[in-house]
Amino acid sequence: MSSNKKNANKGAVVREMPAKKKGAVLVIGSGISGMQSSLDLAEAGFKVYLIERKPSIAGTMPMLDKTFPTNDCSMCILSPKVVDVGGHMNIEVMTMSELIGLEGEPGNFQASIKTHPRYVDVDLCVSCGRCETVCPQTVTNKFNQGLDECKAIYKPYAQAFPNAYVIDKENCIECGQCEEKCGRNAIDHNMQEEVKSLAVGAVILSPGFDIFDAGLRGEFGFGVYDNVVTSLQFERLLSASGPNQGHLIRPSDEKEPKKIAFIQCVGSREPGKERNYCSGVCCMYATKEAMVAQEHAPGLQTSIFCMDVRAYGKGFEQYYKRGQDEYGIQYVKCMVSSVKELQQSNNLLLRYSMPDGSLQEEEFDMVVLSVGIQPSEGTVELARVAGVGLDEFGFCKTEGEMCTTSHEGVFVAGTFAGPKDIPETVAESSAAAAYVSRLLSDVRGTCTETKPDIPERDVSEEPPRVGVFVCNCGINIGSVINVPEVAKYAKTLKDVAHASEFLFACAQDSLEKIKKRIKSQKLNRVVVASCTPRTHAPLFQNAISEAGLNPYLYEHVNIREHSSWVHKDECDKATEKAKDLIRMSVAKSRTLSPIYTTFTDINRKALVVGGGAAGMSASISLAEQGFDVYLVEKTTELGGNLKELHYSIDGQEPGTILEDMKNKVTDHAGINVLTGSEVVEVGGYPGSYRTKINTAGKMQEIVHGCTVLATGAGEVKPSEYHYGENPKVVTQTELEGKISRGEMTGIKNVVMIQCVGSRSEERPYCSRICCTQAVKNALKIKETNPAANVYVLYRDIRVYGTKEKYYTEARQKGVIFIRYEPEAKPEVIAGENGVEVKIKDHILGYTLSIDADVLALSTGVMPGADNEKLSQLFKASLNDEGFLLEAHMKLRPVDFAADGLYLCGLAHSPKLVSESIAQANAAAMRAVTLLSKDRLQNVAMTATVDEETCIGCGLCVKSCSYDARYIDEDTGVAGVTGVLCQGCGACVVACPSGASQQKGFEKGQMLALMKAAMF
Amino acid sequence: MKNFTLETGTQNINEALISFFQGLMENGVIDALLVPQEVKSKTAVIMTLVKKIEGLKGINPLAPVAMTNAAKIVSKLTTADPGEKIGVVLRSCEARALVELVKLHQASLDNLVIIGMDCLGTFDPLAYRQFVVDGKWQLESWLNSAAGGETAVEGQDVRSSCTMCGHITTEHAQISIGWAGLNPVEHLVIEAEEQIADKINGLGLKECGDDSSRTDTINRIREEREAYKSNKFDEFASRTATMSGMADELAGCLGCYNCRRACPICFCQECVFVSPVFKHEPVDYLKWAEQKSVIEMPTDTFLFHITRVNHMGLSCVGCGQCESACPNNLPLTLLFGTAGKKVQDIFSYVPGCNLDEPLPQTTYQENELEPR
Amino acid sequence: MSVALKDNERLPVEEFTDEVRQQSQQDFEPRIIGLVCNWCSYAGADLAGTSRAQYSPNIRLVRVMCSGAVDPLYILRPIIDGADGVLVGG
Repeated sequence: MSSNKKNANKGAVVREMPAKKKGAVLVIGSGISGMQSSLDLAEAGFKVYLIERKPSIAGTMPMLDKTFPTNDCSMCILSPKVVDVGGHMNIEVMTMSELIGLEGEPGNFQASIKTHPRYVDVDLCVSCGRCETVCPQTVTNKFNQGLDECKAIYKPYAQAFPNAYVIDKENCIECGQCEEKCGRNAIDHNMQEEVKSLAVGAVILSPGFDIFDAGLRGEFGFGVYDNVVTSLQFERLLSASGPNQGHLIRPSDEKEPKKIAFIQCVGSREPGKERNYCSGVCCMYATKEAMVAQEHAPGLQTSIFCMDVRAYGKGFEQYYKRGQDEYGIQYVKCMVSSVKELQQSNNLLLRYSMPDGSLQEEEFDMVVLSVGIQPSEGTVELARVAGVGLDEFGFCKTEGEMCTTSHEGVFVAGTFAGPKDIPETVAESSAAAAYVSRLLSDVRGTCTETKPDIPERDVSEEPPRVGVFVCNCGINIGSVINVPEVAKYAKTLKDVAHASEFLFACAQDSLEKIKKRIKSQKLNRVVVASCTPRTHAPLFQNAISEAGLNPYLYEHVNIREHSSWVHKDECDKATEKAKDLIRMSVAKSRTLSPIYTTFTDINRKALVVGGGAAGMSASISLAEQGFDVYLVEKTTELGGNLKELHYSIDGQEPGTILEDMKNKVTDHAGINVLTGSEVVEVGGYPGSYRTKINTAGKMQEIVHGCTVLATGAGEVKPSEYHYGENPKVVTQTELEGKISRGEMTGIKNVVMIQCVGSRSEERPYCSRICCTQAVKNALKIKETNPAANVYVLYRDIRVYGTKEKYYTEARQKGVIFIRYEPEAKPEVIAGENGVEVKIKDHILGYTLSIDADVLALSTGVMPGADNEKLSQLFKASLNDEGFLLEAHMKLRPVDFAADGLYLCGLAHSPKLVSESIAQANAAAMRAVTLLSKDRLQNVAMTATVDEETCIGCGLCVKSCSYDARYIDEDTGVAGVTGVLCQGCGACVVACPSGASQQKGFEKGQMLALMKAAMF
Repeated sequence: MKNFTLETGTQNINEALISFFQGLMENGVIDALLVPQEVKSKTAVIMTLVKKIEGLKGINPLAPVAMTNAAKIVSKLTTADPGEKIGVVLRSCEARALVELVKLHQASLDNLVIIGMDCLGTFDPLAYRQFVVDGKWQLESWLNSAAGGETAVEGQDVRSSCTMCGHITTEHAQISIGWAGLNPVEHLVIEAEEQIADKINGLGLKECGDDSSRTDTINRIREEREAYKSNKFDEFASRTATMSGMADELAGCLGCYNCRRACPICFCQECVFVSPVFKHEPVDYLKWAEQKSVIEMPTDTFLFHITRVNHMGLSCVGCGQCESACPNNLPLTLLFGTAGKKVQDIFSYVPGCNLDEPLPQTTYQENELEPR
Repeated sequence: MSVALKDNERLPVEEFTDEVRQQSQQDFEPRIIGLVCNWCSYAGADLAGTSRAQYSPNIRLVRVMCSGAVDPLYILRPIIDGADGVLVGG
């Protein structure tokens, strides 16, 4: 597998005696977390069993309408991942299943899985929906959060995977009508539960979360008043796939609301109870829901009632600001004490107290409760079976680094390890996969399957013989489009040698028939007219390649999504449209020629840039996964910002962590540490980069397959509050140093000012870590010197997740928190005798004056000074604030848009050390998905060049966004770097002569299709 | 820039130019010269490449006739390093086309000395030939009247593209031969870049100042022509505002592709229109005809012209060679002028104007797709 | 998303069908070709299908891998052949 020395040896050992370890992994829970871990592991050479309790995978994301801070459609960004999981050869999905037993040891577990009966055979069901039409029994629609009803035999939602129905047995009356109606004998009311034993090397727990039961907060009237909904219900109300097709109307009278209140922290931040944690996502999702609601109903007024606005993630503060400035969302910083319904109007009267103590009442049309997240049902039992510990809130306890549990070989990811947002979940899930991959690196590739090679028929000399297969999709197509007539019409088209129809073209028996027809009719082009090619083309392409045809001698016609479903009252016209679309595709198919995917070799070494906590962690992770690393650090010493930390809020010792990391990095034979070194030039492409490194004037070129950027960030050195002028004014990090050196004894007053370098015009982002750092330092001062007064002057306290408990603890220990508004910043008068801090206290209503012995400024994080240079060297984007910009804010947090380049740590955005380490492991895992492959498969439909026709004008080079086009200096004509080409075809349009073409979308092919469009 | 006077009072204009070019070749400003010369019968003027002094004998660069846009020839000379300095005598439309070709990697300015000359337009080659055959041609007297803007000879004017052209002096020239607004029978003006001016000093030419009356005359003619052009463009735009109007204008196209051969910018080795992409099966024609009751044959002529506008409309310098090459006199200058201008305006792009200005199709502006 | 040709600024091509169209203005059924990006607009049209949005059946969608891959020829060809409009979605 790997070409490096150590691994080659290990590999030899493995071959000699049967591996004790098992190269298979059990992933429990299939939300975005479980899917990410599964995809990473499967791509890195492990067999994955993905276990889900519910009837379909993908967790909570499909229910969301949009995602912050980009307002991307949630389902749209998610569905490619679902398709990838569903179609992955080495991921076995088991729904309605749970873990009931786990025995064995790390590397070699026996897991018992119980699968509950679905009463519908997933392999036979083609999701035609006939059963649903005859089912007489309606039940609450759980996917729509009880806002409407569905049948007792149902599919959770349109895009659900597995694409199959399920019976709600509790509510089923067993009338048998569905069974009768099913054309495929897929329904079995007597299905029994099954228990299966799986041999796996490791386990990842990612069972996700449940939302807080809003009914428990009786004062808000949820479940009593129709117009009080949970935030998840509100997502469904906003969603185009929701109960009202995205038309925002309130439940009581279906009127458009004019004024909506969001109440925050429903089920979160309850001191002294089991919910003394912040759910971490509600402030932002409320902002998003308010924004989206306003887009649905212009003129809508929205108010968000909250304690603090916790906009601490990447891009969140700017999103929050947009919410205020562009959408006019009112953030009211006080808690609502009660909600009462007004009888006539069904409007809701909110009662709340203002900061000055006065009581206010305000009327709203609708109230959204921002419910918190809690460990999902059944996790106590899961933890018991898996042998992992839980914390006081019921979340999974981590040991040492994030993702690792008290049970070796069992890892945790996502919200089971504490509340968090999607990007952190995704990163953590990749990280959990990395820990698995570290544990099982020597059995990588031992349990996976690869696609067999099937000899391909040469059709170059044959005249086109097109086979057309038209699908009825049960009634989905056939009830609108006259399928027999369409098939008959297809037969009349030029070069069509065969045309027939199927009830379900995608069913296994139909695929077998297609293969037979290819052989018996000597077909050399295949056109299938059914549903969308985006999900189904690969299925048919695979089938025709099994019949010996090149998979690209294939055209797919979408007559379901694009015709029968959207023209259901115009059968004739829908039929005509289907004929037209088939005629067009047949015309194109006649001109198709085979396409052969090309491959690029991979160099199995990685370059990690930056030797701080993130860079070192990424290096260790890569090396332990079996891949050699060059670790390049600019300064002469490893450690980065970690060197400045002396203790952590949760009791870990940064000094020990640092020493441990340094030892591992320097001791591991696979890590080549280059301190005092800088990258000066980057060439090559994914799989084979050539990078020049300058070590104190000595240049060397290294070859590596991928790169991880972990270049860190700096602490802002402020220019206000007399910093640098008065020795009593220090930064929060400097304060930490003072505390650790015991310089705080005898100190009377410590004042901390938050957001000194953040949330300003110059740096509009939140630095995320300062509130935690302030609470940490405040607690430490109180611990060593309980008599000291500690004042924290803040705008919003943004300790998130389970760190909320430290904030509570700090208040209990007497740390005084005073809010200030940016318009009334604290005033600092630094004289010879001391530092006086003046601040207006909104609760008390007068200005306080504090004589500070130490004034600590929470100055925030600023992007690394070299980021601009790095961005140019590695062609990596930066965001507006100067941090490195990932490929996708939500679902690809550690990838760049280009393959082979990854990021982690502070270079990505401000974060805590533990988060940097997790992200570093995630980046390493993503890198390993590339490094562990035999070779890189290039995009199939790349651009090509006819060298005879090309005249080297260079327009293609300039029009390529991926650097994939070049002019060959020797021949003077253009070329294509296959590994970089993404197959967009922009260069093909730029080429006037037609020398550049896109495989499968050649101009002649497209014009054949366009020509056929009109007759 | 420095100006010199090239006296023509004692000798004819071409003799004066021969000795000037000879000087340039002898003192090493250039090693070879691309320059128009008369054919023996004097009925035509063609481009020649002169490597030795004696080759300059028949030059006639100022003759108002151009068989081709010389940018295409310069492209052939500079696709690779020719190893010597070549002087190229160009009109404005040729220099501007050359700059576009450089942007398209089809030519290089590295080893060139662009010798521009004033141009008030060129005659259709057949008309010019007829003037000579009929004994009506006299270069000096034409230059004299053309220098003030009177370009027609016995009612026959220069090509229609030239009557609409305000580019009288040549852009990008290191040396310019000026006669517009002067009395060319007495003297021409040579303008040269500082570096070259030093060497021209050695040719014994007299340095002179700027001639404001020349500038005034040029500006006046330019304004008249620009006004005329915008009139013509408006007329054409209104004539072709309807489909049948446009079809009528292009009805005469016989699909010979001479226009694309004559075009200095159309640089493709093989036009996509002669590739198999536009080969139809007989049944296709009948289907089209059935679809619309009747179709024009040959087909795709309209598509061809619009595609050419699409491919090189941004770079069109308005030299009019396409129109001159058209056997059926399609109004291609107007087509490219009106259609090209619209898209050039979107990008504020003036083709051939500035070598550093990137081709709009290689750039992206956020507002470029805004409806206008 | 942009509509390549609007009614009032159509390219002057279809000289032969103009008259026919004027005669039967009432039952005019435009024929529209849509060139849509695989990653967004085509997916959007799929979503319209899964959400059963109903629209008029006059459009024929053609999938391209990027709206940047739409050669103007793909717009002009159907227009010249008698299409009433071409929609490019990307």
